[in-house]
Amino acid sequence: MPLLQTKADASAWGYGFLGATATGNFYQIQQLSPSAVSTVTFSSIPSTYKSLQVRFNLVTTSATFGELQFNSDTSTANYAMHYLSGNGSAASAGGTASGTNGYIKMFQNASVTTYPSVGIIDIIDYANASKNKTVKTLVGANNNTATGSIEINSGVWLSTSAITSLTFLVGAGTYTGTITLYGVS
Amino acid sequence: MATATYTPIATQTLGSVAASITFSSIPGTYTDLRLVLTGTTSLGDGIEIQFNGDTATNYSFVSLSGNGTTASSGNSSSQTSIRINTQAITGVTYADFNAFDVFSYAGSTNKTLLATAVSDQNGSGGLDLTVGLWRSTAAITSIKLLMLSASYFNTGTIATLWGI
Repeated sequence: MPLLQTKADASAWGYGFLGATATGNFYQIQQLSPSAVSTVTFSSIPSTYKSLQVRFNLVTTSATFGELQFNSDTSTANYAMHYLSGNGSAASAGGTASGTNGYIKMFQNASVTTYPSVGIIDIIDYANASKNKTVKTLVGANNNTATGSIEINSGVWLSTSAITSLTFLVGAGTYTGTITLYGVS
Repeated sequence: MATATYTPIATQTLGSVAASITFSSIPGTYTDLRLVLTGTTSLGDGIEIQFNGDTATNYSFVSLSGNGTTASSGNSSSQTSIRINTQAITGVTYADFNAFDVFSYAGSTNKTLLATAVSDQNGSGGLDLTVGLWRSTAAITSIKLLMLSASYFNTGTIATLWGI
């Protein structure tokens, strides 16, 4: 197999099993450096990409969880999610149907003040105006103790609207760090 | 105007067996790093990662694993490396796939990574997700992949470092 093909395949797996990608079709749309805030929003997201990816490295002030909302929609009727997680001692799985949270819940961290929570959020076919939007997140936090969190989550936003804004919140406290939005063409 | 990224920094293809693979002089010009390793190992051992030549007990990790039968989670603190791919396979027939995402590697926070490791041997094997921590605020300028005990990476193993 040619080396170039191997690299391209590796890249595709790296995006979490999205379609094959190679250098030149992964674009940084916007990078934010939040400091002691509880929410940031990427707005006016162009519809010119096939998928979006968000990557974050954030230190929180509280043991908390991350939340994701689209187009400023806070309705509990429109979000559902499932998770598969490990906390350092046991694996677990669960989920919430619509009517519970007005957001897609992401990382649950116990790492505060010093150690970052990190994650990769893939949003597939975000500009499609005829189907609901599905999200995959791979998130984790570690604070050099027996407690930590590694999770892979799915989420759905029950809306056929194209995603034009994305809001990232935490359940408690504030966060500081880097969060970057990428477009995959 | 959006900026194209996800750039290959370096690729190493092993022409002979090796106990370790090192990427050095990593530029600090990207936000994140991604290291992808595909290949086989001699003893089916786990893969370790170290940064900047640090062999002190500054590493910890939490894993989520599935082996085809059960799911489990484990942790280790104050280790000399971050270890992934506990389901690794022995031999040259079935390649492992391992990917490390290192976030804000050139920044001043402690360094956290996410790793995905997949090994499948048509009936055995499994997969691991790992979050690892290197308790250092230094910018990462080198990455070393190594194996436990006397194990080594087989010829033909490919490692590529990407900047994002």
